[in-house]
Amino acid sequence: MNFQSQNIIPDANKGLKMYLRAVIAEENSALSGPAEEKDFETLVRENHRELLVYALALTKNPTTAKDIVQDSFVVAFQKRETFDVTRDFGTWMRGIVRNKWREWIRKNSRYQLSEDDLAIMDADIARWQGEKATGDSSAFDRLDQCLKRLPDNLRETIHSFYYEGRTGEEVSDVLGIAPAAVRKRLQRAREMLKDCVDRKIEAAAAELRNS
Amino acid sequence: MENESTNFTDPTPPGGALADALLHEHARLGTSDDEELISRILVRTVNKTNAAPVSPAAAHRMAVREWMQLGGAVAAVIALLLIALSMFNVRDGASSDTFHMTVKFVEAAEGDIQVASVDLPKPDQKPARPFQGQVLPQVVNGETVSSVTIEDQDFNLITYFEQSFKSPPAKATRIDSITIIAGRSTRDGDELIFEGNVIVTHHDFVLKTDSLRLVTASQKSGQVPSFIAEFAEISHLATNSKASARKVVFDTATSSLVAHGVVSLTGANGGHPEFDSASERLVFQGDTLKILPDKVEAYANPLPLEPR
Repeated sequence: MNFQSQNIIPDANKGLKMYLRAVIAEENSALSGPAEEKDFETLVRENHRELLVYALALTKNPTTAKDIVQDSFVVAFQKRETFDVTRDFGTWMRGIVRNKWREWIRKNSRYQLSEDDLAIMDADIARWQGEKATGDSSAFDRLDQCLKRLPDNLRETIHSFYYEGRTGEEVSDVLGIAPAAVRKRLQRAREMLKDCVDRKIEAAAAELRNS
Repeated sequence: MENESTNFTDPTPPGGALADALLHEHARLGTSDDEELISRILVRTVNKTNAAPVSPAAAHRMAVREWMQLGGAVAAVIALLLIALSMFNVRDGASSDTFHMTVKFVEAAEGDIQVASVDLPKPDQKPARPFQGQVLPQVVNGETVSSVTIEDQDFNLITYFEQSFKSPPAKATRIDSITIIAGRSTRDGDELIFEGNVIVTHHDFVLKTDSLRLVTASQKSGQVPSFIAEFAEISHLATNSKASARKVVFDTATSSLVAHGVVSLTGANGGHPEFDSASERLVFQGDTLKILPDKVEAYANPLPLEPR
């Protein structure tokens, strides 16, 4: 481990700095000390939910997504000595999650995602992780704000489907609209929310760069 | 997704799929951390090397006696139990079995009130005599307080008034989520037996043992699933305490973890609260840890019988 490498870490990369401290602490001590454990726990707390979203978008299965994220952190912990400190921790974790997802696809013969789509998804998650690492907000906080700005008809559809757990058919019955209209509203709302979250995160990042 | 038919899934990744996943996660936990997942990760990483220490001191006397007091009386008694029990092995070819159990309770506000505390008379206490003096009741904050003096000692008798009719049922839903990871699992009748590096994760605690029996009572029988672990180590998250015990029983109805034959107990600040492991048990429930009297087990005479 080259301790000099810590000088190149950008200030904004809080997660990486924490992990570096943990690795250095470990190298300076023959035993795993409490400081390292606390820092790894902090990294888990900082990254787990964005990685869950990533795994959920890849697998479309909540249980599998949780297992993949859990196994990925276990792998990261086991291989922490091989971690390249010049790299971003979030990037490293996404790579492990991707590998775990590929393993799952191979074993379960699930649908494959194109490499281009995977790269776009990866870039989005990277921005969301960066938002959490550099500021106090997360993509979930941004989503909170964006939901309030949705038009009423889209918001009630999203609320009924995601937050009240109704099926598309049930939403159709409750709102008294055709299933096709529900599908269209959900699609439109997701696009608007995604744009809104990305815009807010980009604006926060620009503000941080300017300051 | 569980609540989503294929028709309503956005077919165009990556943006739609990501927004869909973000919404599902937001609906599930809002902006909060997933404590269950974090504890599952930590128990397999940083906490793996930090097993709860087994103290050589086998018996301690509890200094803080107030822990024996049961917390506030639970007014609601479970009227209806809806048990959703699901079981599945998650990963094909994985080195361990994962069992996930969700227990859903619907509680009603009406019903009997549980006993709040029991004070057994001490041997030197005198038998009670009827009081023959004057009682002057006063109403204080909605309670009637009657002051009496017996043999130079003042007593306050507090009378509580409660409604004499039953309240209409007000239902509340509680969902417990329990994950069990083990080297292997086998079924024996109504029981599931987990063996080899068993890790149980609940939002209140993490339990590690080598052997665990899960009683998978069915909805039909009206029983609640529970598990029994032997020689287990408990990390209780809310009180930040750790314990190891010969026998640990989890009751899903009350969401309480009861440790019998406790070998060691480490409190929040690393201290070792004193208690008598032979006659007391630990009860972890929610964010509380209580030490309560345990049933004394009668053992057979270990000496060989003399010939008659």
